[in-house]
Amino acid sequence: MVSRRGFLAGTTGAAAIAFLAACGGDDQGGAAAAGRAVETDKGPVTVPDKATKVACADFFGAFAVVDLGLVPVAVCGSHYEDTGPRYETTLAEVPLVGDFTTPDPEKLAGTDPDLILRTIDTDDALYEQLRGITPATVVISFQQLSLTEVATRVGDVLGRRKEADALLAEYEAACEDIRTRHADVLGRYTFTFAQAASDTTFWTLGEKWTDTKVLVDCGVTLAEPSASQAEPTEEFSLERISVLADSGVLLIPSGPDGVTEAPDNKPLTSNALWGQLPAVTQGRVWPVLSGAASLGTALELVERFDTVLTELATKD
Amino acid sequence: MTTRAVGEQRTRTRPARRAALGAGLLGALAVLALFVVLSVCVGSVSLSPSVLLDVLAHYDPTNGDHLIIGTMRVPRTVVGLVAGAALGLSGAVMQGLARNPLADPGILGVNAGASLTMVLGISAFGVTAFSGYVWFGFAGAAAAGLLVHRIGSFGRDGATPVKLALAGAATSAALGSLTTAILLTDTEAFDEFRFWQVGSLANRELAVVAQALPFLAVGAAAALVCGRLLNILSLGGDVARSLGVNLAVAQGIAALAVVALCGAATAIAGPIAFVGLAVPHAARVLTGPDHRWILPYSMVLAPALLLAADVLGRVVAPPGEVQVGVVTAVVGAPVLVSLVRRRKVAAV
Repeated sequence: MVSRRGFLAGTTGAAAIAFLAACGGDDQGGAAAAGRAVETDKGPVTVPDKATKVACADFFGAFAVVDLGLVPVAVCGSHYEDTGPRYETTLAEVPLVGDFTTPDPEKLAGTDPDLILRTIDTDDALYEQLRGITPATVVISFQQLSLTEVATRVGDVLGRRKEADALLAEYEAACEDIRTRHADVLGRYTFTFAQAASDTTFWTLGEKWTDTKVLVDCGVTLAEPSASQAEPTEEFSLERISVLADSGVLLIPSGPDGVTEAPDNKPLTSNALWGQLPAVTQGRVWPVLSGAASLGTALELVERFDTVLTELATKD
Repeated sequence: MTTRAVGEQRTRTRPARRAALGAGLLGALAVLALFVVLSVCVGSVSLSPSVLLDVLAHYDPTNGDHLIIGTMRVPRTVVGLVAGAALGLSGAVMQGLARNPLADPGILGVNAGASLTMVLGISAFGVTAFSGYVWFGFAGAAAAGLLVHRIGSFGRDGATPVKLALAGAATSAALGSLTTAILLTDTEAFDEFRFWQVGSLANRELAVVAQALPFLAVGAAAALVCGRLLNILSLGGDVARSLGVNLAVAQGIAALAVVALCGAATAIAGPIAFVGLAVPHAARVLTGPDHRWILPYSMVLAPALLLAADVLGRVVAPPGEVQVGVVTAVVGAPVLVSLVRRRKVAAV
């Protein structure tokens, strides 16, 4: 039989152990009970089974979150009202909690997120600050990922893999549709996506650049020098615009409306040498959306490219 | 030696010295001509001088090489010539006026004034075209220069060198703070402004140079007639007054030259460091303290230095370019230190 003193000592000790366990295991114990472990750039992290209050701690993650049917509780950066019909109505009213690359931890904490998503390289000091807000802080640098990988990884993190797979299927079907319907013009022309890099240089965007990868998925054959460039971008002096002469069609970045040229691309297209290029003299230049950061934004580019190819076919 | 003998020797040596300085100026012009040719021929695409001659003989707007020269290299060379000459002249006048060997176009608040009004033009008025906001820059440069001169003129003894320098430093600090405050809250203005802020000769339209030419002409004329006045001012205010110089008028002409030249150059090419500071020192080493020679030497050597820096910036980091403002800052600092170390800087 247990004495009264023994009973009190035992129950007090058990209570103390339970209390200490609750305090000390805050970042693992509680979440582990109702969460899943996902792989991140900082190692395994336990996240909620299905996060509902996601804060995006840089500019790029918000699009991938919206793609999967979730509106973030906080975003970083600005100009979300200019991000196209798929996103602007959803993201324009979401509280801003930092600039494009650096969140304000105090503001971010005020939104009480159950998961923080960070999609660019993050130093340890900032990571620890964010983990102080919620241990479910996920760092996955999109820079090393394709857009399909972005969708599936974010789907896994948010517990929305089914939505990610559906989006991936939609994207593949849209690309396949383009390849089939526009096989003729796609077979006749080579393409280059070029944009101004500074007031004296421009880039050709290679297959490793996300936008160009989307175009290649749609069946585009890249012209030289894009076709053989190893890096996502290759920089040329504006004096060497003639390297684009082999391209049958030139694509340039559009502004937010998706159809008119981006103002900061003017150093390239206002150059007199640009006007000498065969694609330019023959009217085969189109502004298209650029900066695809998710499969949803890629689908917007696919839609625009469909229009471009339709117009290209009518020019022949 | 008697006074008469000294006078005879001076009579003999003055023409010889004048001839030597004249020959030196011709040599400086030859150096400038060399850098003009290099500026037109050297770049990402190397073009031989024969192409330049071909362009001069019969320009073909469908020829790629001709277009490179005609639409890219000639405009930036012209901007370099104009901005360089203006910076050299204004620097020489400013050092003479302030009797301060460290005076440069920033000291009268010109760069800070131009920066502030350009940022206001971009941020408050939505001006994005270079031909538009260049006028905000010019207006700001002129206004700041005049403001500094006004502040420096307070008090019974008028605009003394020390008061002008202090007024310029204080005004620059105040205007710079305002510019920073606006840029920190307006990322679009910052994006537009940062390209101008570095200082560059590329992508500047000749139309903008044409718009600034009247100011440059007035400034250059005012500067070149200042030579004798600056020589007298360098003896001090009291001596100048005793020689019959109206100090207020003399300083006013010199300040007008500085504001017009500096404002126009800064508006066209952005704030370019060290050219206005280092070149007058180099000219002084070659000519001695006579401003009647320092001014034309500075006017010729400064564009030569600017064009050399621009050519260097084109080839040093291909395929990109390093803006001329960065090159002059990087190259100018050791050159100035070398000048100071090799020879005691001539008295201003």
